Amino acid sequence: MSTANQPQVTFWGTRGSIPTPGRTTEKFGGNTPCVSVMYKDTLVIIDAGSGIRNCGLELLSEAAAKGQKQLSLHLLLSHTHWDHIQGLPFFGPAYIKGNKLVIYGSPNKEGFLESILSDQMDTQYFPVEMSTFASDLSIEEMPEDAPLQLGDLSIEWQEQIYHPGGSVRFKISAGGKKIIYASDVELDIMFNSNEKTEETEKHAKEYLEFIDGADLLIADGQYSEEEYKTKAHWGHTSVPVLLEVAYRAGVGHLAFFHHDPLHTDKFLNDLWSQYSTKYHTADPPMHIFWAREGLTMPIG
Amino acid sequence: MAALTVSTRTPTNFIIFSAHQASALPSVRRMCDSNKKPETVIRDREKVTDLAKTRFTRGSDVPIVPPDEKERVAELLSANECDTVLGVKIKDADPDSEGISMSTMQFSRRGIAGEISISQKAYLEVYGLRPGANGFELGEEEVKIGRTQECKLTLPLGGISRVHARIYFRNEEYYIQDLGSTNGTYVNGIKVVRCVLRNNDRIDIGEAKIVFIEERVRGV
Repeated sequence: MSTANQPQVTFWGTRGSIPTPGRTTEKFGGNTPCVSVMYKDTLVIIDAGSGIRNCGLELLSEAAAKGQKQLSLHLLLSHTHWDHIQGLPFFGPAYIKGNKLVIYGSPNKEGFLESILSDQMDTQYFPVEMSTFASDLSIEEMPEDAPLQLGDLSIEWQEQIYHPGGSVRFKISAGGKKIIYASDVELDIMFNSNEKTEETEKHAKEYLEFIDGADLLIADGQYSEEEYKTKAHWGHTSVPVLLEVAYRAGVGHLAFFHHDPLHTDKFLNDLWSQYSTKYHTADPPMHIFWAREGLTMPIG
Repeated sequence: MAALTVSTRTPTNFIIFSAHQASALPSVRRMCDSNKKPETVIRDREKVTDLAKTRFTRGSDVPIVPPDEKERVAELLSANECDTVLGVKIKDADPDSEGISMSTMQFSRRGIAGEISISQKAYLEVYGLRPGANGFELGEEEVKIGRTQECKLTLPLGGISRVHARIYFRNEEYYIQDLGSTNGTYVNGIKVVRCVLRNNDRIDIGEAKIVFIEERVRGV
């Protein structure tokens, strides 16, 4: 995660619901969601699933190699379901005095974000309380009236209601590129439901506008078409609906994200084989892939 | 030593190593070279096989060895708690004897475990080079890939920068990193800055199509 002259995205955790280690998931990864975006010397981390542990280890390793004594880190939380915050207690830089860590969440949590995060580190659940974080920690609400400006990154966000408890999607603009993180949302309700309402159509329009022309869309595509039939209203999107919506919005690269714990490497490879050629050879093309842990890609 | 089977004892069971692996362990070789008097001898091939296959469960009543040897082996194990290894050495058949003889030996499980490791073997198969020059074995040293001779893997093909990318080994995993090349480095069609490599990943560097192949081998 050295200084980057063009935005770079790293996937530290791509699995949904629960960490899924093992031989059958080692290619796409078993850690729960965590993605970082680096541009120039600003780093933004999105979500604190178990993948954030490796992110922290690399940050500390790089800082040690450079003799850097302080890290300034920004963590955006899409929501506080367990798989998106469970890695925070294992995020090494948070424990080191001198580091600065700002955690941002939806203002609609109404100030409860801090208690939610500290509760998961209650001694009933974890041996070390959040007060042990020796870094300069602050927990803030995302601004509602203007994009959040972090160094050369500009961040907009919107609520996503089609997920139990809600979630937030982020649009990060950097170096003229647009990176969207929109996990944990059921697009099928907005785009492929027989129960279309004025409200779902409004939300569909907002979604399309938000992701319009994204250079990279990291999006929830947890279920195959077949699986979705028995998992409607579970809060996640089916593959064909995400493909159709992303293509309609002119997305350049689409990263399927929040892989189902039951999906093996072979299963995900097969999905890629099934759908990639059609979109890769389309005019204009859309490059699709299933996000894999340990991948850093340039945007641009 | 014609054949050797070694079982390491853990709190729950014994793990059987193959004769080939065990014979490569220095501690086993030392034991075998020491002419230590066998503590027990079994002359029946079936019993030897049974013994090698038996899994021991701590505190259970599951028969652990053939009946006539059960007490002796159980005594050896209980005297050493968990940190023991039961070694079974099968000597060459002695033409003057009835057949195989076997000694039961004890030595440190920790000692043996320290000598056993999971080794990784990884290769690059480069398409576009002549047959015989298209395989490249990776070790733990960094490998630079590019057009010039300073690179360990020199690829005289189009679209490749002088020093294009590197493959390095860290935390028991191989990574590929683009080194600011003109045309980029791709893994399975995705342009990467860096990517951990997995078996059968396809790497595209200019006109070179490369497949990364990895094997994990338990060895010593």
